[in-house]
Amino acid sequence: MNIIVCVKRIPKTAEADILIEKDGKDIKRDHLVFALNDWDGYAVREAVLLKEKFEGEVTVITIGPEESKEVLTRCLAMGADRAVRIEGPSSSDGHLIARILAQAIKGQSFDLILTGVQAEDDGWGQVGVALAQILGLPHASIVTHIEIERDKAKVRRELEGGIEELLEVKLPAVLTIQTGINEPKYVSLSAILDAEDKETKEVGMEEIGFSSKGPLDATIDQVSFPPTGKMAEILKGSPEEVVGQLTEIIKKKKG
Amino acid sequence: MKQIGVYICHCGTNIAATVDCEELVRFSSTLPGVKIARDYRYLCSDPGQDLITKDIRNLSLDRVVIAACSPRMHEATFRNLLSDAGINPYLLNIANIREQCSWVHQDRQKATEKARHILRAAVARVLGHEALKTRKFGIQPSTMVVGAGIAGIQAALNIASGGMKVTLIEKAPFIGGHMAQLDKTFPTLDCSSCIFTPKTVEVTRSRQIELLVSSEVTEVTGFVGNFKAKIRKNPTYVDFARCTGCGDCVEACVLKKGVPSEFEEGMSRRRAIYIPFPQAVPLKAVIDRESCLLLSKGKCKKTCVEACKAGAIDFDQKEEVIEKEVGSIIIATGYDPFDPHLLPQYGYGVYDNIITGLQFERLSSPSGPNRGEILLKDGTVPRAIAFLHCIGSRDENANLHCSRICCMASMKQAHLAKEKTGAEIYEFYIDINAFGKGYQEFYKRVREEGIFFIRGKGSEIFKRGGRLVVAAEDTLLGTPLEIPVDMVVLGTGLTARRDADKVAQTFGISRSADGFFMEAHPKLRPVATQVDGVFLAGCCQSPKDIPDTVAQASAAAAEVMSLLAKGEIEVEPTVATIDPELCAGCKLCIEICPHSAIEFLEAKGISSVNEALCKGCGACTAICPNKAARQNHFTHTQVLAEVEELVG
Amino acid sequence: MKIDPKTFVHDYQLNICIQCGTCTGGCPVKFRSPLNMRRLVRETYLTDNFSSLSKRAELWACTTCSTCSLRCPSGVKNVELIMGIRNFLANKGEIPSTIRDALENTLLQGNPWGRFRDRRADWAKDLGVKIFGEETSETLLYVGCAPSYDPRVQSVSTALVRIFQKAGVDFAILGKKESCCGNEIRRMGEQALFKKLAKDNTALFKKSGVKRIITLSPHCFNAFKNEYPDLNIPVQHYTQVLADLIGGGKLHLSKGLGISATYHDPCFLGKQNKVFDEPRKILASLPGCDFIEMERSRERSLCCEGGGGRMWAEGGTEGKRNGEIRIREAVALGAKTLATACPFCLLTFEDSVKTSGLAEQIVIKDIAELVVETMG
Repeated sequence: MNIIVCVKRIPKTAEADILIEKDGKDIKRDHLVFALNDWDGYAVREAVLLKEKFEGEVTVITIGPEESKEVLTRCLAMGADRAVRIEGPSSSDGHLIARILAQAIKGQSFDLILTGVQAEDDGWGQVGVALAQILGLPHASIVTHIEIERDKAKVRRELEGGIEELLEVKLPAVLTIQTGINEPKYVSLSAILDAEDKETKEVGMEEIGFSSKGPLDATIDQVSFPPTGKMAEILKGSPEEVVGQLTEIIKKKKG
Repeated sequence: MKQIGVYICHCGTNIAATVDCEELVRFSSTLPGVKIARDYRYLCSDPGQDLITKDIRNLSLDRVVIAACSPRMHEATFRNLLSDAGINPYLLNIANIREQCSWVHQDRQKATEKARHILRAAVARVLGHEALKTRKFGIQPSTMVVGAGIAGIQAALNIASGGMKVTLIEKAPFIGGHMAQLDKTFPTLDCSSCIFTPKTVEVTRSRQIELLVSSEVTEVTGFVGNFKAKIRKNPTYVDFARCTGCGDCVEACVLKKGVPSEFEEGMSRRRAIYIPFPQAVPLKAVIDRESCLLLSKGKCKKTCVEACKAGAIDFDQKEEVIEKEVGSIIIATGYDPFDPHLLPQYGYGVYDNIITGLQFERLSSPSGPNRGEILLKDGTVPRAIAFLHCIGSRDENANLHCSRICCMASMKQAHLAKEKTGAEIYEFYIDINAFGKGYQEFYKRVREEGIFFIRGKGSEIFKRGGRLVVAAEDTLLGTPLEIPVDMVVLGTGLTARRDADKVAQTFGISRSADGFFMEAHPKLRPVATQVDGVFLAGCCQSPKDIPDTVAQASAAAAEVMSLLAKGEIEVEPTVATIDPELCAGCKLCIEICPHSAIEFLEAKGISSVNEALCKGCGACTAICPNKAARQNHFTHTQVLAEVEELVG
Repeated sequence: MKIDPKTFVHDYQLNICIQCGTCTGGCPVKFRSPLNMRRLVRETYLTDNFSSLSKRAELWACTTCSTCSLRCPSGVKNVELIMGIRNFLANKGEIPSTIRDALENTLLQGNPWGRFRDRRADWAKDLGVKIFGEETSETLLYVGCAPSYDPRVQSVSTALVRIFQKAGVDFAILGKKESCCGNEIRRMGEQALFKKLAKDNTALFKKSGVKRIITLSPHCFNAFKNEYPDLNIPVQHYTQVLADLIGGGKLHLSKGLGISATYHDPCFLGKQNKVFDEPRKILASLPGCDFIEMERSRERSLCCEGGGGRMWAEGGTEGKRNGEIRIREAVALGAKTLATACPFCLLTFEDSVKTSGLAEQIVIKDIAELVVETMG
């Protein structure tokens, strides 16, 4: 069973100071650390688990600049067999990304395409679904369980309110993977160092036959912090002081 | 014209299977100087030897080459043969075609070729051999025994009873060593002083033994049969000739708080003037200069002097240097108990009632501080006692060696403790080494007595709820334990004396890796050292129980007696000489000689070998720039002749 | 860097074990987990199924306090064995998820908690501390991860800075450029990551012209002193520096504390690196501080269970925590303050003081905090 996984390199922002660029169109990235998108990590792990069960090859693909190679190395260390980097725009236009990926994937032999549900940074959640559409493949999103039965996949989807949906998808198909679908394995530094020696295929847009004619489907106008809500109050001081203030507030609210 | 006989041994098939012995006979016959060459199945056998003897007589041979096994095996045999046949024994040469040829090769042709080389070289060398004469020296019929513990005492008594003079030297002011401190002895449980006192008394009675206490050997020169020793007698500030051992001075001493008593292992205190213990031999008071107020601080009322009716106290006593000439020396300096402060996990010195094995002996001894009662520091009887084995022994962090006696000592102490206190007793052990006669039986007996054996080494001791807690694992169950007890006895091991290095230097002997003095051969010469005439006895050589110590002491005495009985010693003639005509007096040889056998003759400005001290190592011969140093039986001519044939 | 289990016997000298149980007898988690060091040595020596042996949860209970290997009469390298097995597991990716996160965080952010790299020196913002790169000094105060990020331990960092400033010690910190020392990383089994951290840190120290390192944590002290292969820069734990400053009269300690305090020896400072006297010297010199020694002190100190990656491990142990035992011991002694000199000890005791309900009776302090209190 041959599986293609589409992955993305994202900045880790959870703990970081978020600053906005002067033009107001993006956040500052120089001081941030980058990693493999969390959802994509689960997707790669799932692909490797399926491969261990059914044999075949796992190919990981990313679009992005030179630095994106580091997430592919990580995927190789996780057990992927081949890695492809498409030298392309780091754009938040999910449709564009999906079109490029489709162009690269078209004509390859595969049984399954996995992507993460969404990216940690822009959270569009669009690429997987759009890719399926362009390639004319069935798809399922927010997948939490996969079982392969010959040319079909039985998948479980996570719905709101704790409900699960069980459905059958004909292969080949595109599945967008939800976190928690599997137990991630630790990727040791020695595995990463070993993977650095493995080959990553680098291709340009022309090589895959993609011409970026026409305007983008969506462009970013502005990024900004949401206005501070009226009910929000940031407590300042040492942990002891903060706890003191908090206790007072709770007491007051309780009346 | 030199007449050499060459004899090739088949050594059964040992040699003959790999080396063509007939070919060697043919080859030897062609070598210069060879009058006769023969091969034989076993040359070392009587008929083999007869064959050679007959040839020597009938053919007037004057040199012999034996191609056979290593000279370490039969050189002496064939030298004796030559001697008996009327040729100087040093006109023999052995060609080793077994260890160095047949045993290490398989290809018969090549092995034979190599044997030819070896034989050729041996013949070339023997041509240059010179007749040499062994020399003889007289022996002083007296012995110095260093250390008067049970080992030294036993050796001294054995020698004295053979009618020979002994000087018995002891560093402490009394004799008896560690055995004097013990309560009962394993496995028979007879009391140490009961079996020991007769021996100490005998020492003082013997006319052959001169006892020097408070004395140390500071320098030894000379050689076997003719040692000169310098002995420093430290002042005791008491005239032993006058002292009656009444103890009045001790009572009078103003140092009422005292200092820890060495003999009592710090379990009680003594004054500055003291009699070490009631059965001390000699029973004399001594003054310790460290704690005496007059000697250390220069100020005291001298109440002891007033109290002494015999007028024995003499603060003007000075150290004395005594010189002795002796024929042989026995070193019996004993051991130091391991200091458990070095393993802080056992809390020794931190908590009361954690004591060493020797301290337990004093506690249990009827003459000890508690008159034999096993009590805690507060005077109460312990309800539970733990004995920890292997403290400071079998431990990479302390000493790797097994101290041998601690298992038995610990079990004996457990028995005594059980008997005297009825306490619950735990023995924490790794393995029980019950190696001697009646020891395993004793082990069984102690188990039967209800002593609880836990197979696990004590890991640490701490205090909880006022009691001592021993942490360990019962390794047979795989269960970690923390057992509360009231007293812990550490089975402290035996180590080399702190000053062992100095003593080794003084006598020119060496120490093994464990720090104890090294014997000449661990199995076959366990009593001798590599210095002729210097022997070892007791725990200075390795940890031993009393029976083994006594046995080794008697063995040392026997070695001494057999040496002294000869009246003279033969010295191998393979020593170095220095040609006075060639010597330039550069002293390089003096520096390099490991046996201090070369002296510089100031008057002549040259160096000279003391043949009695020379061991024939050849170092001076190799270093002498003028070729003035020359070693008998290893002359340049001889060695080069051999080498040339070997490489040629 | 991978350690081959086939070489364990030789590398850790498992074949010379005499099965005396000294290791298990002194193990701080012997009653808290099924970990039996003696048996583990034997089993690893004999096993033909190492993989199944390595799956035992109790392997993560070891705190790497090293009591076992320090006391082993045969010289078996027990702790290295634990680290070897953990390395085997890390390379297979089969480690507990919390340990996995700690290791991944360290690779990404330079600290096991995954706190933002750029915020490492936030605690020092208003303290007027020199930072290498901006200014120079010969002395590096290597802060460490917990003292940089954990609010409880930041107070120790701040205290130390104030003490050094008062005593006129010229020093600087690495600021945002500081990365984890790797001591705990190695103990969690990630030998390769440790090696990388050691290499990068060594290069950074040398580039910054550091001539002397002072560490806040005994764990960093241990890594630099004993495990960095090419460092060659003298390292001191801060208690050694403070003892010198106090001894040399460089610190004026005037304000009386009015406390009775006892001291807990951190394993990585005490038994592993033999720094026993300096912390006691400091405590003895504090005005109004009545110092009481604990029963289990120095080489016999009971591990707080904060080392060996235990800060990030979950479970594997049961029953009363050593931290709680320690606090009860201190309270029983009559101490009102339990002093220590290690961020992990400090944090585990702070936890235990709460879980044992003894917060009214005793406070946990780092020695640096006590010193700063006496400066007035």
